[in-house]
Amino acid sequence: MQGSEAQAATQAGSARIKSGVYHQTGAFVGMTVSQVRERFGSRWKIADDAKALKGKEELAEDYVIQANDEVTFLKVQGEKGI
Amino acid sequence: MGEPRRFVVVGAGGTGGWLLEGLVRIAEFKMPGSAILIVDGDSYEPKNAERQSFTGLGNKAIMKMSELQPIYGRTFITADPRWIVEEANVELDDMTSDVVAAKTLLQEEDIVYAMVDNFAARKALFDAAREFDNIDVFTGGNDDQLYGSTYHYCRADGEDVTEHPGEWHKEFVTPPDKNPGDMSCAERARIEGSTQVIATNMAVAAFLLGRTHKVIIEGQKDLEAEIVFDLGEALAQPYDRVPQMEEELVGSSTH
Repeated sequence: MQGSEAQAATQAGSARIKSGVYHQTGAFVGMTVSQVRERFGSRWKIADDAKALKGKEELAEDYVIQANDEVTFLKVQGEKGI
Repeated sequence: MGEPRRFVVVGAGGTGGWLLEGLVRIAEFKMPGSAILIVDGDSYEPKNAERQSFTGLGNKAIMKMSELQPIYGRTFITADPRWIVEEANVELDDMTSDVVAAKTLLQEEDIVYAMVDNFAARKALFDAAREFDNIDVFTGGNDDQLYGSTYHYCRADGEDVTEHPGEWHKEFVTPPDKNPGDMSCAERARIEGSTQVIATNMAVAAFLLGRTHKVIIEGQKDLEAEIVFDLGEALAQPYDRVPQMEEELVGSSTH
């Protein structure tokens, strides 16, 4: 993220993103779910079929993340998983 | 010393076998006089040797009981060589059947470990647990290579302390797979070998034993009932699975 872009995002508040073993609280406010998926999907191993949830509410890909949101990407477990 | 309890381990294979090695020691030395019921309709075969430890061929539940009982004399270890299913018109002591319903097998105050490798059997156990006032059901699995997960569903005094896993994972509501207990012998024989990793299976067992130690032996309350881990990244993350109160849900809907 560029410096001015990061500064603007920080001023907008922070949100928390969780995916499997990964989690980060940061300047995600204003990003859409699809943007988070695109930017962090590989690093955080966000599965293609993982749903984006706020609590138990499933979020659309164009949902814009708000301040204090906690968004979790929950993958469908494989047959050997829980 | 803790009070004796009844532990039910469903599945004595890739993860259940390792769990039992730790659990029997917990029962023997921390909760003497406890009982362990091992349930598994499957048989140990040479192809299982890479991930499972048995001293001979035969039904896994019976073999594991035979191995452990002579060593751990203060623990009452029994075996049930049947497959767990959701529905079956079979009496608890009818050993002529190769299946038994989860709700027939389980009892109040049981500590259950669903160490099966399919969601259909897990669903049978977790759904049956809903009918009890006080029960703990643990499960876990090797999801993908070095990635695994565990879950603990707890009910006390007729209420969910932690949520049924179906609240978060739809695989527990509409399983994508079939329970071997509901298959014919021919179908079971065609089940392909697993892609599990022994390190991950042992880690699943360790995480479950750790949670058993924390909430059962030490009596600590812990609402972070789901744990995911990645051995390759040396990371683990707990997830809060506390039931939402109805008034909280109503309140949230007004925002």
